[in-house]
Amino acid sequence: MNAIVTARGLSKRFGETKALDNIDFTIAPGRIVGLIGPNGAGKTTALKALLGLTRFEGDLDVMGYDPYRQRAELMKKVCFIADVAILPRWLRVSQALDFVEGVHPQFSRERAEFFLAKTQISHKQRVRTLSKGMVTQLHLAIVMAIDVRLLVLDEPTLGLDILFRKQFYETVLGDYFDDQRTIIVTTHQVEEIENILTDLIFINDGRIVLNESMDNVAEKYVELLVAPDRCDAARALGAIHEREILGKRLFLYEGVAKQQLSELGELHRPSVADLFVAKMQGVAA
Amino acid sequence: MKAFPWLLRRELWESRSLYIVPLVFLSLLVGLYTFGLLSHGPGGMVHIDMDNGDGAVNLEQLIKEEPHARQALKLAAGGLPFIVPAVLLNAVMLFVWFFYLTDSLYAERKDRSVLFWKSLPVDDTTTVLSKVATAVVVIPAITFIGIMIAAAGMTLANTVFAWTIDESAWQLIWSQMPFLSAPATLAYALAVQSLWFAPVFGWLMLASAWARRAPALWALLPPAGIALLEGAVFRSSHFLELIGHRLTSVVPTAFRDEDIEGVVDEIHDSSDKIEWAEAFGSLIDPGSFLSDPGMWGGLVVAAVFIAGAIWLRRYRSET
Repeated sequence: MNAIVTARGLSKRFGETKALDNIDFTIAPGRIVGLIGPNGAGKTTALKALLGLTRFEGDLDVMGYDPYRQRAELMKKVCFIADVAILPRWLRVSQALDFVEGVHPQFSRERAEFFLAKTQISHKQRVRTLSKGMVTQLHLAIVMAIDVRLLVLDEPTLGLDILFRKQFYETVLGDYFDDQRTIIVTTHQVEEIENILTDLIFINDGRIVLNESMDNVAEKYVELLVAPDRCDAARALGAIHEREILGKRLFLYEGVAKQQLSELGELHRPSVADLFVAKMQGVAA
Repeated sequence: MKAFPWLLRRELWESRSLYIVPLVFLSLLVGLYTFGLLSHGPGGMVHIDMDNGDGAVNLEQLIKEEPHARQALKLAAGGLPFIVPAVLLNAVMLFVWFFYLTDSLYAERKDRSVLFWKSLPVDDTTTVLSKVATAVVVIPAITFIGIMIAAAGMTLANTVFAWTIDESAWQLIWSQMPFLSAPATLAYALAVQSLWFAPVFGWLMLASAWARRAPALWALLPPAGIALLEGAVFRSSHFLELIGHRLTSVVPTAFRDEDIEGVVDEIHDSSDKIEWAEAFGSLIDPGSFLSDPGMWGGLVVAAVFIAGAIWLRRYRSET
């Protein structure tokens, strides 16, 4: 299978600061990739480069297109939701459907109506009369009705309550995703998406800190909970991060044999959030 | 280009003032005119400056007994329903243009919907050109339709007025109306005006695409600054004259201005037969307009400004 996205030596500077520092990555079809990083790490810059919204250095190929030069063409093949509440407030729901149907060759009105029927949104409403959650539902209904192979979601659930957030990802996973499509998602609410991700990319200070499939992550990283008296032995095995929890120490290891570790205490699968903290602090140290 | 009609529709959805504002003004005009005229029906009095002093006369009596007054009324009934709305709605259009264009590439950035529009497969050139087409074609077309509706409304009021004083509406009102030449002349005037103003439109769009806030100020302050600077440094006002010429000279360029007075005199003299059609037809001067270097130079400047606006929408990424 050809890669959906291939980046080689991707860089972007804003004056002195390097928003992206010579990064390489490949995204295969049929994956759901979480792009995770602290604020200002370069996530949004990377997505903007992917979507042809910003100039960059290096090579970037998105489904055979140079996103910067062939932006309008690329937009026939890619959909994105860049933030919540980005639909213009004056737009009526029916106008939104009419317009997208008019300009997008891949849009299915029928599918959009199908998704909208599941919500409380009526056709006559203007975006300004919809709640934040409903605006996202509308945007998602439109985007999911566009038959493309790459969907980019940049903080799609920011500012939504937990019910909408859960429903959002359930809808994406249940009604949209299949092995022909690829989704790239950034969010601060990592714990909400970790069960749907197939791949994980951590980015910090413009560099990729981690780039693994979730299967590999489960293989490679392990958490070990040890009693205080065995801490030195645990430390000797080369933990990448440690912290205290309920009077015990929790160590995180990368690529250390589980058998060896299990003799020292209880093994756990680290959450993405814990792995993220470990990786980010490791980089800072 | 399949997207283009949808982009034009989008402009009308977003900027409803494009048709609401003219509609309000034409309704006011027709309403006030109808009220004013019909209150001068049978028995109604009008104040007229006469040679033998100021006096109140009965309009009905005047029309029936004074051939000249009757002729003047026929003349007015034929021309004014086109001319008065045209002057009013054209003035309204200047404001509509200014506010529409200064907002045209600013509003979508202000409400942050620009990324939604950019997520659709429509390139920036097409989008910006749809806004140019809205200013050059759609807004004047709305004005034209508005003038025609107002003309119909005023003529309807005139017809009812003729009936109330037992006159033949055909003879008094309709027989003299320039049904073809007035709309044709107006269409010509609106078309040449749009082309003439094209560099102004381009400038307003460039300011709109450029400004991070207050696009109307960005539209007005730089020209004002240049004019002041020129005055201070060179003690001249060529720039101001250039702008003034652009804003005021479409009529002298596209119409035979030396003939306007002659035409008016002619109309005054011919008491029996009024030919609005001829009067309108003799005024337009497309040859002079099309051979005016200022017109073509303006289009080139407009193209440069519009290209700048497209460039800004395409390449300036704001975070």
